[in-house]
Parts: sequence; structure tokens; C-alpha cells
Amino acid sequence: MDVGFYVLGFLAIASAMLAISLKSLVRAVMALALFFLSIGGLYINMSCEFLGFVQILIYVGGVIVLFLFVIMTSGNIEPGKSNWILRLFGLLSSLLLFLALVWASKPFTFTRLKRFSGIKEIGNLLMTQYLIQFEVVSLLLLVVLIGSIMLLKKE
Amino acid sequence: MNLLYDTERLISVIYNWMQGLCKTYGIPDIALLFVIMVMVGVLVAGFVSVNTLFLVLAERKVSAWMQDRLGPMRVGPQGIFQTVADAVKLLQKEDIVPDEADKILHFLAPLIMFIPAIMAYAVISWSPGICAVSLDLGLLYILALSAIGTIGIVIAGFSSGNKWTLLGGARSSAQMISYEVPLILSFIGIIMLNGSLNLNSLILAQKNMWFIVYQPLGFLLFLVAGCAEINRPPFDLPEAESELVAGFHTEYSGMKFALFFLGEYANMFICAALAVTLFLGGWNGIPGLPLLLPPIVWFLLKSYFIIFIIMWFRWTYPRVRVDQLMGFSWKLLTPLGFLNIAITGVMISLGWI
Repeated sequence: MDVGFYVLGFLAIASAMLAISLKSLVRAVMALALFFLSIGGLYINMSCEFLGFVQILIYVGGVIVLFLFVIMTSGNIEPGKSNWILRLFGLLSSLLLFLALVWASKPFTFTRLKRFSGIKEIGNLLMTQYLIQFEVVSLLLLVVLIGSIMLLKKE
Repeated sequence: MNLLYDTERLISVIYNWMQGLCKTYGIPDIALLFVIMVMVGVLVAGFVSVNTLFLVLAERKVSAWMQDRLGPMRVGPQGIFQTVADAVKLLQKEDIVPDEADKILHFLAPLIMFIPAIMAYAVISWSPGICAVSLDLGLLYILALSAIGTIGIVIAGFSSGNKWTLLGGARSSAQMISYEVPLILSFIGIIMLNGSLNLNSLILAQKNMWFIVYQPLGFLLFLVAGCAEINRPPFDLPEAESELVAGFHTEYSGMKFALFFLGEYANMFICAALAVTLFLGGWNGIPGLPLLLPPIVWFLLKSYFIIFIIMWFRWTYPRVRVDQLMGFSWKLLTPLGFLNIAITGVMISLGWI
């Protein structure tokens, strides 16, 4: 591959590790923002410009800002005590997840796409070949919306 | 003089001259590319600083004019060097970091706000051929950058360790998230008409008719949501001085404060330039009439007119209350945005546009 991939990949891994190890919640969220940015950079590096910009717009502009909002209104939360059983459990489950991801990505071969920035192609695919998946996702979002309203309106 | 009208030729003339120089002195092409990149960077940085100086002065003069005052009059003829003096003063000020502050984030916050604001200038199309990068997804690029800039404000509010700034940051995050939705919805109609997110092709498509004629509702929504997105009154809740001292930048002094100022005015120009590019025909003249002025003059005239309107808002409307802020976006602007998309869709399928 090329230099851009290695730089961004290193940045992604380093910031992800920072995000789970930093004590201050806001700093951890900022490391997470850097992680999302470098993932977006990786997409752009693979010529998926649309995916990269949307990744930055949704994750950095939406999710991270929402995280910050929640932390600001609720204050810094002290981390709970951990013991060796929990640590073992965490280690095993993350190992399992890693193996599952490796197994799931086996049938794919990774090749560089030729300029797939076209919003028209993506729109056409979403509206024809992947219409059912698209509608199911929008239904899922609707359910989440109704669920959060239900939770907030207890009275 | 003709080269000012035909800027594509102007650029090619300059480029050929530079390439000729490189040939005669045996400089490799990579070095030429590097020099051009540095030149563009210096041009953009220079424009942002001079533009900020001009806009701050314009803001004070416009507000003085609207309130029947004189405004700054002391430094230079009619006070035109007032902001230059202010900038020199800011450069000399001591940089104060509060004890309670999170030092690293306090240092990073102005940069996180300022750098995306400057990066957005890369895709602005000033005149035919004068555009640093003609990106296919230029519109999405600007949106993504403005999303990063928000984090700078929020982090500035949090890291100062002060309740006023914290409130300003929290308000800013809530405001940005809710006003981004109507902002994006407001120009989806234009994307439906044109089928492209490239700013150059959007301007070229408006050669015969400006998009504001087809999308009047979209233009209004863009102006209102854009105002909220760049923290201009009546949506300047993150820095509401009557409630929060100075909001998120209360604890900043000297150059760091100046960076927030620069970022804010850079964003303001981007918002105006985007409104001009999307709705008012970019560097095209008035449709049907001959091009009386060079395209770049048209572009700047229209942009500064939009900025004048944004300043006009400030002295016309009282600040939105914080409890009205969310409702205004989600209950009024967002449904109007969807309505605009539906109307545009119906009109396209009926073949009226």
C-alpha cells in the first residue's frame, strides 16, 4: 500500500487506544474524534470520498458533539472498580470479536476503487438493489425515535 | 484588463510563465507544485486576515449607521484603521491560561475551530478557473469541516473550567446539532435540480437563471440556519453577553482570542459565499444582461451583500431565547425543509423546472 494508509492507520489505532485509556472523559472523547477523523481519512485515501465526508459529518459532527453535550450536562463520571473476572471476560469477548471480524472479512479482496465519489451511483444502488435494506434501516431509526420519546414521556 | 474577465486564461498565462521559468533554471515539477501550494495557502491566509479586519470595521460602521451613531472615528480618516490598531493590540496581549483549565484542550480549542474554517476556502470558486480544488463533493466537504469547527467551540467552553464558558459550550453543541439538519435540507432541492455537489458546476448551471428563483423557501431556510450555524445574532446564544459574560471564549486572551475571532469571521464569509454560490449565481452576472463587471467582482459584491444582510439581522431581531431555540429548529425549520424538498420533487416530476 502507500504512505497515507500507514500514517492514517497508525493514527487510527493510536487514537483508539488513547480513547479507551484516558482518565478524563472529555479527553477520551476527543481521542475518539481523532479516531473517526482518521477513519474518514482512510475512506478518502481509498477513493471513497463520499463515505469519508459523510463519516466525518455524522460521526464527528453528530455523535462526538452529542457525547460532549451529555458529558457537559452530566459531569465527569468516576470509573467503576474492576476485578480480574471482569478483565478476563473483556479480554475473551474482544478476542472473540476480533476473530469473528477476521473470519467475516475473509471472502473479500481489498482493491482500490476507481473514483467512486458519484452520489448518483450510491443513490441508484440504494433505491434499486438495496432498497429493502435501506427501508429496514429507516424503520429501525423510526423505532429508536419512538422508543426515546416513550422513555422521556413517562408521565 | 481583459484578463480579469477571462480568468481561466489569466491562470494559464501565469502557470505557463512559471513553468517556463522552471524549464530555464532546471527546477523539477514537484518543486513548482509545492510553490503553487504555498502561494495558494498564503493567498487564503492573507484573504482571511484582511477580510476579518475589514468585516469587523464594517460591522461596527454598519451598526453605528443603523443606530444613528458615527462608530469608530479616531484612527485614520473616518476611523478606517481602527481594526488594524485593535489587531496590533491583541498581538501584544499576555496569554492567560486559567488555573482550573485543562491545559492541553485549552490550547487546542482555538486551533480546532480555526483550521477547518480556513480549509473550507479550498473549494470556493471565486471566478472561472480560480478555485484551489474543484472537488466533486465540495458542498459535503464544507459541511464536514464546519462540523469539526463546532467541536472547537464546545471544547473551548469545557476546557476553560468556568461555568459561563461551560454553559456557552453546551448551548453551542445543542444548537449546532439541531441547526445542521435544516441547513442541509435547505439545499437538497438544489442538488435535486442540478445533480451535483461540485461548486463549479453549480455555478455554471445558473448561467441563465439563478436558483433563488426556483428555491425561494430554500434560500430563506439557508440564511436562517446558516446564521445559527455561524453563531450570529439572533442566534448567538453560545456567547450571549447579557447572560454568559462572553460565552465560550470568556477565558481566552491575546492571540487565542483573536483566532476565535478570525475563525468566526472566516466562517461568516464562507456562509455568505456558499449562499451566493448556491442561490445567487456565484460569479455569474445578472441573467439576461451583459457581464458588466469582472466575475470576481460580482462574486465579492454578492457575498458582501449577504454579509450586510446578516449584520442587518443583528440590529433588527432580539436574541432567541434558549427554550425557543430547539423548538424553532425542529418544529418550524425542519418541516419547512422537508416541504421544500417535496415541492421541488413534485415540480421536477411535473416538468415545471
